[in-house]
Amino acid sequence: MHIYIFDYFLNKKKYEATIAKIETRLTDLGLNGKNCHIGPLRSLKSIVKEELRNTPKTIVAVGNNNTLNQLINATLEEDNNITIGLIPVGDNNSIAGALGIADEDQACNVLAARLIEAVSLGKINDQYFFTSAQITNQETIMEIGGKYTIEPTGPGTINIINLDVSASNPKIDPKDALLEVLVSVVKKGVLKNTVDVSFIQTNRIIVNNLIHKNFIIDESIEVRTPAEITVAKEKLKIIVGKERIF
Amino acid sequence: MFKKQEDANFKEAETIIGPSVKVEGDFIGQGNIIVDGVIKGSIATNGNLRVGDQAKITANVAAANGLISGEIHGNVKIAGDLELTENAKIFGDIEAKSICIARGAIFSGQCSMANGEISKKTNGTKKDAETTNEKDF
Repeated sequence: MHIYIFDYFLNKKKYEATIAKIETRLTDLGLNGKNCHIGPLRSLKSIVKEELRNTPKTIVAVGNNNTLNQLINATLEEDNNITIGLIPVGDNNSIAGALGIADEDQACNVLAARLIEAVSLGKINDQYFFTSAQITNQETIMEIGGKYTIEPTGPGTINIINLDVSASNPKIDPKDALLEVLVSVVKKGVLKNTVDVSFIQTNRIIVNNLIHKNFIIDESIEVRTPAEITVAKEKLKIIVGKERIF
Repeated sequence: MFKKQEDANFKEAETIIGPSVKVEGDFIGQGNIIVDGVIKGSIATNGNLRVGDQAKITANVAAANGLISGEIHGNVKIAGDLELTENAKIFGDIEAKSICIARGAIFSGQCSMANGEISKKTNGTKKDAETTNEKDF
């Protein structure tokens, strides 16, 4: 059986038609299951905990990057290696694009085709992330693999990437057991600014930020520093489309 | 000398240390490395190493092949080919199979090409042995 978890923001009236359309399409495809809606008194975590008792075949997040991240963390916290799906609705859905899911219509077809990939996840402290963890360069020091430290000398960002949603670098593969560290430093020029880029692959990083800036994971959730970042190999089974970028 | 071959290899660089980054410690890589920043400690890779104009390395360096344009304070051990461009500055000993130094490069240290010496000595011994044998007969 499929369990569909609808994010809280989908209770807004403007999504009514979209949700009705999704439900109809899922019924047409014979994929109808149990629909659970997150509410003020019902968190995604509690829904997952409750529904996993019935050993469902698949749990599908209906929402955005944030919904998917919460679902991944909730299922893995229960130590359950269940298959996960995604139906993107609304903004902030870059992960769906990387998975080869353009919109909610295509998402239903992708669920019906049920093409499953086992992918690695990044783990920052106790929280998993699928795409990347980002932090400012300012006063940030990284210890890579316990062997050396890297310190950017100017302003910019540090991106620790598992899945590159922009598909700009073919070396970034969420199926390998490596994280890619991309350090971008902005250099001010007379006419225009330039960006110096450093690129390192590793499987363990400790990051400390002296001014207590936080990481942003999966473009939506904040995680405090200091943080230990590792990679969990083939931790997630996820349903993907043919046009996925990996 | 090795430029075309090196360029092709460095398109597949697995690690890039940019000019605005400072690295301290034992930097051990598996593939090709490009260094344009500051490194203190040691660098070792089984791939190729390219050190850019702006790079300042205070470390012992070991790699399969090397193309050096920046500044290195430390010993450089290259298993294959080493090229120093006109901007290269090396203050330390070099060990390589073959070496190419451009006019303008600064090198202060000892250079040893171990494989060459061994092969010359071996050839010499063989010739001596043959001569001795001829005399005996």
